[in-house]
Amino acid sequence: MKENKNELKALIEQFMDSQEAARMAEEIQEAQEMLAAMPAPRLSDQSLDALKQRVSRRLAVPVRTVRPAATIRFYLSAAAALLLATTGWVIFSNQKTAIPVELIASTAHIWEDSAASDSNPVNTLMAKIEAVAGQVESVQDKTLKWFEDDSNLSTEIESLEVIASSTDFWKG
Amino acid sequence: MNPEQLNNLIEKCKAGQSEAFNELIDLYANRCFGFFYRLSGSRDTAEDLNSELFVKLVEKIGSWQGSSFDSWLFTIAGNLFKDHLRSQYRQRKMLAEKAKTVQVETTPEKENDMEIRLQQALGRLEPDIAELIMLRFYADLSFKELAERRNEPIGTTLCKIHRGMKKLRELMQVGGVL
Repeated sequence: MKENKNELKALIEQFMDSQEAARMAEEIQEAQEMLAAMPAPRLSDQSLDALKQRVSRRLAVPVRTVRPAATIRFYLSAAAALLLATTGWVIFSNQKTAIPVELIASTAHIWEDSAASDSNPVNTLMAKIEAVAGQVESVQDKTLKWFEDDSNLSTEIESLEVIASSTDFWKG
Repeated sequence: MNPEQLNNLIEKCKAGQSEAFNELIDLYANRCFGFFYRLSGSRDTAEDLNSELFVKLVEKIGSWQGSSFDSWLFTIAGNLFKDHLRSQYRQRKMLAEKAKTVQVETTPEKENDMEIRLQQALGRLEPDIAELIMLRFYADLSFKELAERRNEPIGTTLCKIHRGMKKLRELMQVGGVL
């Protein structure tokens, strides 16, 4: 509840001298009286009835359980953290296992044979990697060209702004 | 209506009683409408925001914990108005033509109309300060409540409101109203 004039003056005196506080309280009081002298228009009876009807209609629909965005984010973060922890645990627990000597010996021929033959699995693998890298580069080129075209960007920004202004999704 | 009666009414609203909501609308709708009208300067916008507020109230009334209902309700109203300002800002940015239309809507028809001068003066205040003044006036909040709500020192709130009210009076005097 609003303070009266004396309470207001006492409050302001906590911050400035008595004379200044009295002047400030007076100015606030005068402005409040000015606002009170010019009341805002009131709702028409028709608008008031329409409002009541809208609220009644809303009451007829069960209030949906809305999960706040923050709760959803919390659950997603927790799931991601759990996944990372599990993956890490699996990887590190496997690393502790010593690699059998036989396995090292059996894979050694890959490196020994690599210079001798083109049918070497390492060469085949390298060729595949180069092919994939080529594909990635071509996609990157296309994306860069798309961004270099100003009309693409402005169209995209406009459509995002239309979505933002015409929907309530950003309210969360 | 005393605080106990208000609490009883809100409990009935929480139970989903339509009649109780109607009574709450009778109690608060005009005050909230005045708050929105003074801040937006548009009757249509104020009606839309008011309607949205009471629909939101149906969804949120279950979370009211028994603190000051006026303060709680006007906090929701203030947030709704901020959302409105944000969406208006986006629209203005996107459609310059729309901004012109909005300006035409608030252009006074009669130069000496006190009401319109007040709206113009309010429109020239910083939105933050205008909202504080309207909360003080329509939500009937004390400086302590306002400062708590804004999470700022009471001296800051006091200075902001004093500065805003002083400017408001000066603008009205320049307009030849006072």
